[in-house]
Amino acid sequence: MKPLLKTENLDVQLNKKNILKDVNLTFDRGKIYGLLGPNGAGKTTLLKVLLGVFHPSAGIVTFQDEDLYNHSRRGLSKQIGSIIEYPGFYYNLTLKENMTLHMRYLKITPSSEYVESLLKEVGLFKQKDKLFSETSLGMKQRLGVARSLSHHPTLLLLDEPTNGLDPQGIKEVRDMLVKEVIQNKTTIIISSHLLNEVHLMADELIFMNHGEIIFETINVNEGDSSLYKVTTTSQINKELMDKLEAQRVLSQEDYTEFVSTLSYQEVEMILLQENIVINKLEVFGISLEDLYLKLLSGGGAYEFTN
Amino acid sequence: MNLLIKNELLKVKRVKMVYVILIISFVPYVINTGGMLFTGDLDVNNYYFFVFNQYAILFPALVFIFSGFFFYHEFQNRTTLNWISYPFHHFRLIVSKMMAAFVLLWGTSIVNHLIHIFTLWFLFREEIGLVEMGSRFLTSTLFTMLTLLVIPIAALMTFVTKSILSVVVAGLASIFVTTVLLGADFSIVFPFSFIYRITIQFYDSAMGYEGTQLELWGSVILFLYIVSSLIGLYKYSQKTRIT
Repeated sequence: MKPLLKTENLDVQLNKKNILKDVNLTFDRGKIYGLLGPNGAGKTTLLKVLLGVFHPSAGIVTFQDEDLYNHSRRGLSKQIGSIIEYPGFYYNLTLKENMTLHMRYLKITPSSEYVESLLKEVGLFKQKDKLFSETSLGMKQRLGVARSLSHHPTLLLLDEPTNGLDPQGIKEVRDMLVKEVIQNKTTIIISSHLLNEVHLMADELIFMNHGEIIFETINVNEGDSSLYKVTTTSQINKELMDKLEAQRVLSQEDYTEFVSTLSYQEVEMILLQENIVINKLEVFGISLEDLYLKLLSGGGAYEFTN
Repeated sequence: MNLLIKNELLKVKRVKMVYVILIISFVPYVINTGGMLFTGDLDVNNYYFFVFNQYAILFPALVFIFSGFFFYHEFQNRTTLNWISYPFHHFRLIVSKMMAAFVLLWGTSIVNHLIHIFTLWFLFREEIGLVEMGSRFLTSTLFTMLTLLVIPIAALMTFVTKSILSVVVAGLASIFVTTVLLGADFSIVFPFSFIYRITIQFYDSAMGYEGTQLELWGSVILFLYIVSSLIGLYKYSQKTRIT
């Protein structure tokens, strides 16, 4: 299956500063991707590039097999939904009026019932005639999500969409997004600081730091994957990582760390089959939080409990 | 474009500032009509001229402030980022905004002139004929139409400064600049004083410019103001991100 969206060797420079460096990513249809990383990691910039707000200084973004920037604005706006930075709405209009206005801009003639059904889905039906200025941050976020889904886009880019939501609100938004993926095969790229939130929703996780992709992995249940540390002077190349079904976390001269869903015995067997001289093979239970902190600390400093 | 203009009109629903500015435009009519009725000093020519004169000084400032506010409303709500997701060129969105401001200001101004001319007819119907009334209405309407051409200048100023204060200050300053320049031939360099002089001559030819050369140069300068503002807005609209 061809990917919906692909970035190749993407660089973004702003004010002579490298904001994104050599970003190579592939996004398939009907999947949720979690974009994780600290403030300033480049997550929002990446979303803006994918939305077409920022043009990369180098590299290519391919959307549906065509250069993203060759797509017409009309075509892209119908296929991409987004909440970037802050959902901008008119304070003097009601929630329903704001939704109607947005859909009119997208050349969708919204029936009153359709707008109300969208508001109902995000739990804002009772507040539909409330002015936007009178709503809480949580309501504003929900409205932003409703708006981004209003035209059932192929690609949805969400920057911290659950900011300010209470646990129930977070769950409602999550359910809504998952439903959208199931019903319309929408691809969602969601950037968030809430690790557990992303963990509950995403199919794949992308870790970013200092404008670079530092780790990509399939999202699995806690306990299904482990961190392995193999102390060896042998070289562990990409082919071997693939055989281990592993994602490399760190490579040093005398040891390599990787995350894999395979068991200790399976990993050990593959390494021996490949003639790797194992001085020591250690395995650690790893949570998403552990992995996140490990990656951000540069791989080595974070201590795990065995 | 109709849909975009309708959208722009919806955006300013319930915005009190819009109503306030439009109501203020009736001040010259209210003050002069009230004053005239109160003092009993009824003079057909003075009445038309005083209202027009004050209106011609006030209205350009209101056009400037109103147009600036219309654009500032987007920055205030941080909604310019939404523009990227709309299937329209940014310049089209800007033009629709200017046209919506034009429609509201033009409509209010025409109502203003109609009330003014109707009062003129009501109070002085035995002294003034239909032709004279028509020509005065046309003078006022022409003034409105030409003044509304400056909307792009206010729009550009708002885009560049992103500050409503700067546009308000510029609008208020225009009152003083117009007043100062009005009597001089040099007034051709300032759009509002030029528009005042060029239109008032339809009411009283002695108040216009002497010779067509000044009128031509004034028209060229006004044209340059408008075209350069539109070019500036177009350049601005080509930015991928307007915030």
